Amino acid sequence: MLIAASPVPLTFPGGRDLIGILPELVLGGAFLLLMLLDLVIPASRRSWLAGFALLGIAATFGVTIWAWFDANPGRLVYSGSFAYDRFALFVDAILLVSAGLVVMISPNYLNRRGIHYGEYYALILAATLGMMLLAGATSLMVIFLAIELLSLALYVLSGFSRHEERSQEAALKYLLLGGFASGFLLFGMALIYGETGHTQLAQIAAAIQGQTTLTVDPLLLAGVLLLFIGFAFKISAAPFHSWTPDVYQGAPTSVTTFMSVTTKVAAFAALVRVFTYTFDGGGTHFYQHWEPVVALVAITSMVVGNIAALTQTSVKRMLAYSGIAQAGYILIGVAVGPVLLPSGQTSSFGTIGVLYYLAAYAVTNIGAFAVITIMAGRGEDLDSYDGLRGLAHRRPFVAASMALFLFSLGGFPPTAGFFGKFLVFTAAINAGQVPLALWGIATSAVSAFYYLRVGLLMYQRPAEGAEEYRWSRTGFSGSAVLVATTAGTLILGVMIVLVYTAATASLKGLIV
Amino acid sequence: MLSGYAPILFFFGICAAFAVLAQFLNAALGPKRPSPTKDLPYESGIVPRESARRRFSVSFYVTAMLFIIFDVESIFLFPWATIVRELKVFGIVEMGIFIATLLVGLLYVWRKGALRWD
Repeated sequence: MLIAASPVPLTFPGGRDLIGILPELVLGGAFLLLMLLDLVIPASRRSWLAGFALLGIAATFGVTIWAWFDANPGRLVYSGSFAYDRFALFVDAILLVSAGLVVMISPNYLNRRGIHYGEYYALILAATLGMMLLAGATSLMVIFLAIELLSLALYVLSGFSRHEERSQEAALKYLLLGGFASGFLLFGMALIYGETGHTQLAQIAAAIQGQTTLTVDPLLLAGVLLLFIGFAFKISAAPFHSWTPDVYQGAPTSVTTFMSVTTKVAAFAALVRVFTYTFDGGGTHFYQHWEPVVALVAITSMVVGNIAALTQTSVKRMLAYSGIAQAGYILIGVAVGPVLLPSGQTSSFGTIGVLYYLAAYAVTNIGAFAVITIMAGRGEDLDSYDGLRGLAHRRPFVAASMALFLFSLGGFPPTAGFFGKFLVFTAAINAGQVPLALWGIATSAVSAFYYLRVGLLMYQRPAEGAEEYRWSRTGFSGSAVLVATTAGTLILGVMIVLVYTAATASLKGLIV
Repeated sequence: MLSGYAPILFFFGICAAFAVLAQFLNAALGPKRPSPTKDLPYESGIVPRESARRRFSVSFYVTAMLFIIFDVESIFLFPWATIVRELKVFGIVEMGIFIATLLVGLLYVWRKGALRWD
């Protein structure tokens, strides 16, 4: 039993605490306002809600940028349960940009599908709020509440096309399996609390470091692993991925765009904070006890995701399996952990890899899903591979940007995905975990096949007399999103310094 | 280290044994005098007039759910009321924001027609 020193006294929250959650407060206010606006804005003017949502996201983004300069050095607020640091703000920025891009492609798509309800935008903001809270949470309770907030919003969103059986099935599956995963998460938290006597990460870390015996407390380790299962479900890592293809395919495509990216980003942020920086065990060897499990899940995800993606004939399912594989690659960065260098300092190269990969994955995956969302025809989803056949001959620019996103997902230079993979593989090799890097490289080679297959389909000429898919117009907002994601994919692939510097700076300020 | 949990394991064992035992004891010891009245569903002492298996209006469900939400949230007012003097203005503002948030929810369900009964 390792009960650490006395807990931090609960202090009365003051103005400094409020500033610490200012971005979240602004977004929360925008969410409430949006709920009220939905009541007064007539149904024919629903697109205005998208504008207001975008305004709220932009305001939050502005506050986040201001906070980035203010939070140097960062601090813990609310008696140590939330971190106001650059790490959280860096993740917040990725989340807000992703949410903004999704809101931009949504009105046209929802109108075509006939499911344009005002709650959509409020739910997107609520989910984003939960994710931002998750990125900064430094207490097990806040982590759980944040995960529930984002999950509840996503359960509703995935069943948003409520007259469609597939969408309802997706929502029910996600709800049931999500509730199951929450159970794992809570049980793990209970065990960790039982063994350390604390819910706050800083004190849990101190309790683990204060461990004097050589054997590891089995209940604490069980708690840590159960917590990992809960997170692995949220990032859709194999073997906790079974919900992913069905939910991604059944949910409206704009929702899939949103949750495929943002859930992973937020959950990985929490995973880094909890595992790499709390459960590392400082000078002790606690890290070695959970690292093999994370590495095994990483390898399983890469193998299962990439092999299963080979046989898909639906673009959404293919991208779902690709997302499972990508979760495996990012997990490498978590598995290598904080490496103790000979100089006695710890290298956070793996975590920088995680952050870079997340930023790269966000722009690329949103771009790829945005193409499917924007091109979707009236009343149906663009889902089958046949739907993309010959796209390059009718919409050369859309096809070219889709090809770029596929290259980036496959990890070809000079795109964002290349440097993401490069950084995590390098981190693995530096940490002496060459097998992890080798598995990553081998499965990347496999993945090239199915990404290129879709790419080639777009550049094929449709067969004579074959019925062509009736693509929608790109529209102004759709074009803007495609331009932004294309530019992001290229910028992250060419000017690696930009985000790399920001990621490094954000890690310097990380507090637990 | 684990031995501290031995009493809990022991307790689990007793619980399981008691549950199994109670099943048999009940069947063995209880008197059995069946009558048609005993097979009727319990309706608070009143003789049931029709089958209980019929459709209910979904409004019951929505109203019950909304009631629970507001009921649970109003519970927060009680601990707050005991220390409102210590919290001073901050506490009042904080609770004002909390209630305003609830009010947005109430406005929402009202305008969406969830409170209408037909």
